[in-house]
Amino acid sequence: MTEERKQAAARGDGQAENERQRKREVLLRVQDLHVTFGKGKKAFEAVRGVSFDVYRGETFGIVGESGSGKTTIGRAIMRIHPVSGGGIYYKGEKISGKISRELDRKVIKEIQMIFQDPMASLNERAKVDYIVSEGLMNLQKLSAGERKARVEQALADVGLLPEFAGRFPHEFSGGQRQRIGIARALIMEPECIIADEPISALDVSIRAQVLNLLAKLQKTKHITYVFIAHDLSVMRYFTDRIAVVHKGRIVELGETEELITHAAHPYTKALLSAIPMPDPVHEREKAPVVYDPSIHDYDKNPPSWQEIRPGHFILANDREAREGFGR
Amino acid sequence: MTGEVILSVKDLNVKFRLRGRELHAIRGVSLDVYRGESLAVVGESGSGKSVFTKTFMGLLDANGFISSGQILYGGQDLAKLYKEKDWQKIRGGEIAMIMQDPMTSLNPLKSIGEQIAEAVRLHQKVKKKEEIREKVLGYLRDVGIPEPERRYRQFAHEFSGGMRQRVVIAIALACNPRILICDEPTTALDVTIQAQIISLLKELKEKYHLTIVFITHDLGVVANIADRVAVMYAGDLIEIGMAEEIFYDPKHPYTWALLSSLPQLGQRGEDLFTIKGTPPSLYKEIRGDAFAPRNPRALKIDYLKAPPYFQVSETHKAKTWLLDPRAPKTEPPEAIRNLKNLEVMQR
Repeated sequence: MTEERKQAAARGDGQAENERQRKREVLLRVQDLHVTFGKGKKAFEAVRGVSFDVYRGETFGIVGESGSGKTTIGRAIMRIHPVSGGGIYYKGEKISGKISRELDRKVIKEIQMIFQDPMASLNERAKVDYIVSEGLMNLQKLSAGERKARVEQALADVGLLPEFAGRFPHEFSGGQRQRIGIARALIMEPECIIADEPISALDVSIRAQVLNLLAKLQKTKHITYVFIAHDLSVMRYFTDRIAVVHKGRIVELGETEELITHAAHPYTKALLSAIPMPDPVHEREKAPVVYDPSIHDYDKNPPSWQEIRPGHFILANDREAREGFGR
Repeated sequence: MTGEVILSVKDLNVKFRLRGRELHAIRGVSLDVYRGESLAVVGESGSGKSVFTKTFMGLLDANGFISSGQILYGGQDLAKLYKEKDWQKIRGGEIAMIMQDPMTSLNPLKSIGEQIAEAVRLHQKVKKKEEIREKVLGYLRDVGIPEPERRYRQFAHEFSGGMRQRVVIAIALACNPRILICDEPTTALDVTIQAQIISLLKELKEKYHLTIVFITHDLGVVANIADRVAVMYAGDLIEIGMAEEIFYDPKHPYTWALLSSLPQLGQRGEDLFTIKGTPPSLYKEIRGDAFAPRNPRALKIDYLKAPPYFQVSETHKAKTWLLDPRAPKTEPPEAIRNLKNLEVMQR
């Protein structure tokens, strides 16, 4: 890549190079992130040194099984969990740890979250109007009229009717409730949304609707997504790049199509083999690949990041990078 | 499919009384379940798939009742059972059920070993303590829980979601049932765990000679486990056939729609297929084909007259006017025409 850049500079092709650089502006940088729960003997490190960049306008997927730490990464970015090591940078500014009040308000506004379970994440005792506008009212004083207009706009953006503002969450179906959750995030006019399994709790037919909505919002509002899920089939459809997380570490990272067609790490392969396909003959013959971490000899030969193809990284030691995974 | 019918549902109607109104949840469903098969019942939330199977175990909510029809099992009509004592002979010992959420179906205050032992004691009439313990450990091994001796004494909160579901399966097995109803057993689980639980169920089905009724909203999950697939919509069974027939040659527009909306079939940059509108209200009498208002290619007759079953093959039938010889030729949507030759995502 550097060779190419040098050549481009030599040709005076700086404009295209600038263009490329600007396109890949880093919006969010996670650097050597550690998150530890508990103290002393009971301490458990849920995230063990995770680094990645999220570029403006892209959809960055984090995939892994339950307990892998994928949600913890998302919640650390949201500053729900304090970090125990490393840092999180937003537009170049450090947002983890102690930050100024000003930056705090900016981050609250610009990074929003969509939660997994729309049945549990909405206040049962508040009307939709309050749920959607609560975050906004915390940051700025708005007149009743302005607030009403903003709520109606947010509801319209997610395809809900303005009169829904006066209703309670229990009056809605799962898909509608997830839309309310999205409206709640949208009203802040965020630049980045962390979506933590936003469709796992929904019916298949409703999943498609919510995914289409998220895709539409990205196009019209230029929102960057960090999309957390356990299901690679959804990821393939929805993300630009994917990081595969296992036991608090990223084991493979790459552009979606590249990662899926040339999956190298055995854990990624196991995740891929678990995707249920609507093809009975093939499915019955399929033997699920089970990932066995004991194939690694990491106590003797610790792993590091290896770039196996341009932009496609795996966590492997020298031997594995040379000879492939296996004993 | 030929074979011995183990459970036969005949023109079943289930209604619920709600605030003085009646909701017609199951609208005349007939279905035979064969011994040793695994049958998947698929539908959206509210299609009636759970209510339908709950009637097999007498588990309808207090305001629900069977208004007409029969459920024939072992020479008796389950639809006529109302005494709790009679039901106790069916539940567990004849028909057992695995629920969606393993956290809420386990007792948090009893060790999991005791919970399985309880089922062994009640349903297998084993009295000796040692014998019960041996049996429980055997079930724990069968469902793939490592270190069963240690796990025996542990409580539900010490298990992960997948392991909990294995415990629930062990309890169901300990009742020694002939039919195992699995109500969305993997919905709350990860794809990797889901794949493991499904292959476990397939294994156990062979080992314990079970008949499995598998309920889900996700057609993708079903391809692996089901011999036959029944698709439900608005309280009615609109298409049923062997798994190959439903996936490779679906006939009902609703089955097409369900298949098309699978994210596995999505193309980047294009919208995923969605089913427009919402399922019909079951408070009102439904006229014509219940799916017609959401079907962009509905025929005029769909709004007027409910279609009968059209037989596609000996094992495959569907309720849609498209199968009538007078209907215009309609092809299923492009995306699902070639499921057999799907690009395989795994290598």
